[in-house]
Parts: sequence; structure tokens; C-alpha cells
Amino acid sequence: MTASRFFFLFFWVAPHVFQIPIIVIMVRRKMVREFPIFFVYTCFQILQTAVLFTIDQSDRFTGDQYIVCWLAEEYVSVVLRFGVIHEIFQHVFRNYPALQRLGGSLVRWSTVVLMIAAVILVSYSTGTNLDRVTLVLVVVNRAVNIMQVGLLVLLLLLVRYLHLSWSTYVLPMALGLGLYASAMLVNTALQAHFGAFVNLTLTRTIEVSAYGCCVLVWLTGLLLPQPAAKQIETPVIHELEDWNAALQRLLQQ
Amino acid sequence: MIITVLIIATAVLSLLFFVLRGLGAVRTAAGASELTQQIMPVDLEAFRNLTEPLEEEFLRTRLSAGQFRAIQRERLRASIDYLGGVSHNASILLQLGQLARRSPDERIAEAGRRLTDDALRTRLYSMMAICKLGVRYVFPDAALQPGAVIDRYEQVTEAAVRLGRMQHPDRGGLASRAL
Repeated sequence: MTASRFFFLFFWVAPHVFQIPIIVIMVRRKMVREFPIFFVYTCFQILQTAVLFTIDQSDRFTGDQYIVCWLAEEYVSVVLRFGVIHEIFQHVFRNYPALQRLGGSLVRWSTVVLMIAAVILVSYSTGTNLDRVTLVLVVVNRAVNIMQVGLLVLLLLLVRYLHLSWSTYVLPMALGLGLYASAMLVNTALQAHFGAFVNLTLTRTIEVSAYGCCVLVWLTGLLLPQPAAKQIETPVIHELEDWNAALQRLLQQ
Repeated sequence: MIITVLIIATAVLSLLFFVLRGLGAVRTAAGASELTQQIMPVDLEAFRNLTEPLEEEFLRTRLSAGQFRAIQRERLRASIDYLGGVSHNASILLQLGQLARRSPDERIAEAGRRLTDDALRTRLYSMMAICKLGVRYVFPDAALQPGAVIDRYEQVTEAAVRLGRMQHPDRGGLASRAL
């Protein structure tokens, strides 16, 4: 086994090994009920890597069998990632009754708008080396990645604009997924232009590195101590005077 | 090729955005006293006058079409500035409301929840009103009024005063006089 092959296999398997502590922590902290889709996604990722790794290493399976298996897991992962994004939106908006209806409509309409944008972009950006496999494999993936990146960027911008607070662990979840989806968008754009299997090592390296970073962000988010919530104590007199003065200026100037 | 480059550039920018947002998460949030200092004065009456339909109608009948458009644009620019102030203050009140929500005193926490909810609506309404006034700036003859923002803004400031009263009943009267 060459060194590059070893490192490739290492970076392929390592992130999924790091997902095992994520599952353990989630179970121990009783977070499974809170994030059921994320939990299923994490379990699925570990399982599918174990299956694909076995097929890859075993001589009993052909390349075609590997591709069929890989395609199946890709599309299940895509659906689960949309589920995780939906879960993130729900967690962000659930503490704000004023936003609950808006949150639901925002997800629906943004998905529709991003889907239209993705279809337009995909239809106008056919590469020179497109074949049927690329069309099925890459073009659909690229449209999906455009939608996922768009939804996550929109959510982060909205949270920032409205100064909403993130509930525990939701921010690392969104950031990790956003990093991965952005890297995958680069990947699929390259593949759509140059062909699905052109420079496979480069694209697979981008994918496994991005997924590694994503898992590290999730794990760090779980392991870091949660910042203590600042509370408004009964304010001292000068604070309240400042508060009143600010309100007075606000209304009388 | 251009679209592919555009997609890759957008993806790289998104990647940077997520990384920077992740690094930004480490920053500590401002405290209540820091926040109150950031509140900007907003002249609500002046804003009401600027967005008063009768005032606009009066100007429309008294001035030539060209003069009306020029003046109306000035009025709209001023209104957008006021709305920017309202939106900024709503964001401050929103953060104060969120801090209050974590209070162990259930009354203060409840007032904080109400303030957060009202301030959120104000922030959204002011954002929409800015968009509407932006459209009117381009088409000054169109008739769109951001009146709901004023009412909502008053509700938010009232909620802020209620919260102030609960946190310090002895000095709460000062706030009510201010409002």
C-alpha cells in the first residue's frame, strides 16, 4: 500500500470513527430526542462507511457493485442532510413565537427559490465532458449542494440580523454542515465541468477533508463547555438611570 | 465555464463565511449596560409627520409634479434613516429581552420573553418598511405607508419600560414618565 493510498484511507475512515464519540455523548446527554434526525444521520454515516470500506477492501465485490452501493448511500445522506437542516431551523425558531410561522414559510419558500436557482445554474453550466453518469451523479448533487449552502447561509444571516440566540449545539451543527456543503459544492462544480471521474483523487480528497473538518466542528461543539448564560440581575441604580435616560432620549429628541 | 467559476467562487465565499462565523462564536456577548448605551434617539413624531398620508397629499396638491418628486425623495430618505434607528433600537431591546429571559425571577423572565417577541416583530416590520420605502424612493408616486411600524415600536418601548419597572420597582416611574 502506497503512502498516499494509506493517507486517503485514513482520512476516509477517521472522521467516521470520530462520529462514534458524538453518538456516545448524544446518548449519554439524552440529546437523541432533541436531535433525532441528526442522530440517525450520524449513525447512518458510520454504517455506510463500514459497508463501503469493506466492499472497497474485499476482492469479492466488483467496482460496479461499489458504485451502486455508494450512489444509494449518497442519496440517503442527501435526504438526511435536508432533514438535519430542517431540524436546525426548528431549533432556532422554536423559542420565538413571533418567528415560528415565518420560520416555516422561510424554509419552504427559500427551498423553492433555491431549487429554481439551482436548476437554472445547472442548465446553463454544462461542461465539455458531460456524460450520462455525470448528469445523474454530479448535476443533481450540485443542485442539492446549492440549496443546502443557500439555506444554511440564509439561516446564519437571519440569526445574525435578528440577534437570535443559538440553542446548545445547534450552531456547531449548522457550521459543520455548512462547511461540508460548501466544499462539496466546489467539488461538484469541478466534476460537472471536467467530468465525474476526472481527477478523482483530488475530488475525493476534498470530500474526505471537508467531512473531517465538519465532524471535528461537531465534536468540538459537543466537548467544549457551554458558555455560562449572562443574566440581567436586578440592575444597580446607575444602570437603570442609563436605561431610562436612553429611553427618554429615544422618545423626546 | 463562467457559471462554473461563479459557483466555485460562491462556494469558497460561503466556506469563508462559515469559518468566520465559527470564529466569531467565540466572542463574548455584550452586557445589559453596554447595550443600553447603544440605544439611538429616534424622533417618533417627526417620523409620523414624514409618513403621514395627509401631509403627502397636501404636498402633492401644492407642488408641481417635479417638485413633489424631489421633496418626496428627501422625505423618504429621512424616513428610511428613522427606520434604521428604530430597527437598531429594536435589536438592542431584543438582546436585552433575551438576557432578561434567563432571569431566575419568573416575572422578569416573562417580561423578557414579551420584550423579545415584540422587538423581533419590530425588527422584521422595520426591515419590510425599509424595503417598501426603498421602492417608493424609486417610484415616489406610489402610495405605501409603513404606519404599522410606529404602532409596533410603541408596543416594544412599552414592554421595555414594563421590564425596567419589574427589575427595579423604586425607579420604574422614571421610565414610565420617559415614555
